[in-house]
Amino acid sequence: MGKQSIFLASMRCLEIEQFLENLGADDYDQDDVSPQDDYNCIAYALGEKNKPWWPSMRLKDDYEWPPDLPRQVDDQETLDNFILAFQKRGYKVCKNGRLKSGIEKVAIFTISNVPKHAALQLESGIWGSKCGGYEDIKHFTLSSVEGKNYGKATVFLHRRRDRKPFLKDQILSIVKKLLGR
Amino acid sequence: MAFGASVCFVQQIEAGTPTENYFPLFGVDNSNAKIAESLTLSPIDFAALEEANVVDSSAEISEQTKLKNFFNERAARWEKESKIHSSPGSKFLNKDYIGILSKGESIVPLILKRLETSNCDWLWALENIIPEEENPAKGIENFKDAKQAWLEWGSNRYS
Repeated sequence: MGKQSIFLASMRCLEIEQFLENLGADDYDQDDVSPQDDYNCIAYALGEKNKPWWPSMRLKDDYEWPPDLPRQVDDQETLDNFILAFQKRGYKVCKNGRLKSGIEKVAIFTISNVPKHAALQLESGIWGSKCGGYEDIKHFTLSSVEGKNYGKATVFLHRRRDRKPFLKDQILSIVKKLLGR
Repeated sequence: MAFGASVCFVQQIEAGTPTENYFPLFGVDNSNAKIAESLTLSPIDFAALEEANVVDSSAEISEQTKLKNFFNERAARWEKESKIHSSPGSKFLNKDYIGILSKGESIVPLILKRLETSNCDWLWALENIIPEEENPAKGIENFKDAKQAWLEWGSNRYS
């Protein structure tokens, strides 16, 4: 599917382009909604957009995070903590961001192993990002939002779109039950 | 001082004796001419004083204006640039934000003024300028209440 057919009447956000240096005018489309502060990129990737997600230790009440996972000091957040948070919502680490039918994928962007951003793969294969306090955008590639602010997409996670466990996990669960574990 | 002299001094005051005549009683050489000479002041140059005052206050205004311009320019840029981040830490690792922080307490009234209408995280700057024991938002874990605590603290401190 060509770029033009998808983004026929594409909307631009010049500010987003200004801060994401690899994002060209034809690389994305801006969603036709006002920018929301109610959620952030992690909340967007998880599909839980009622509150921003971050393991903030400082303003705990303003950020959602699984209660049994650690809160961390600003800019000292760990990738493992983010992976565990996604795992709580049924995601598992996978190899890459290639489109697979019935599977939802997330890419976590890091700088020096510190998480900075996350993007969600939509059913069409296009990626969706909530760019901080700016609008949601849909972008063809992950590399178009990589750069000095978000770093690189380094970890990929996936889950079934119907939110059911993967077949392999279902079989494993049955085997465990049979073995009485 | 001899008792008689002090009595005489009091009497002279009561009698309304001119000031220059008090001094002989204390052995001070106080001829009218000398006193007049010692008391002679150059005519007050009001124009010069006024000018000096104007220069001082305008210098002060100029310093304040410079600081205000410094702050406003960087604050506007930081608010725009930091908006791209979801990561709170990444918002603060910004040269403009650090530049503002480096001004210390002199910049705090300007931060508080901006905080009145901004929902950007200026609290981190305040937390890092004002000593921890004075932090009015200590223990508050949400932006709204912490902002309110800082604004109240500011109105008491700088009013």
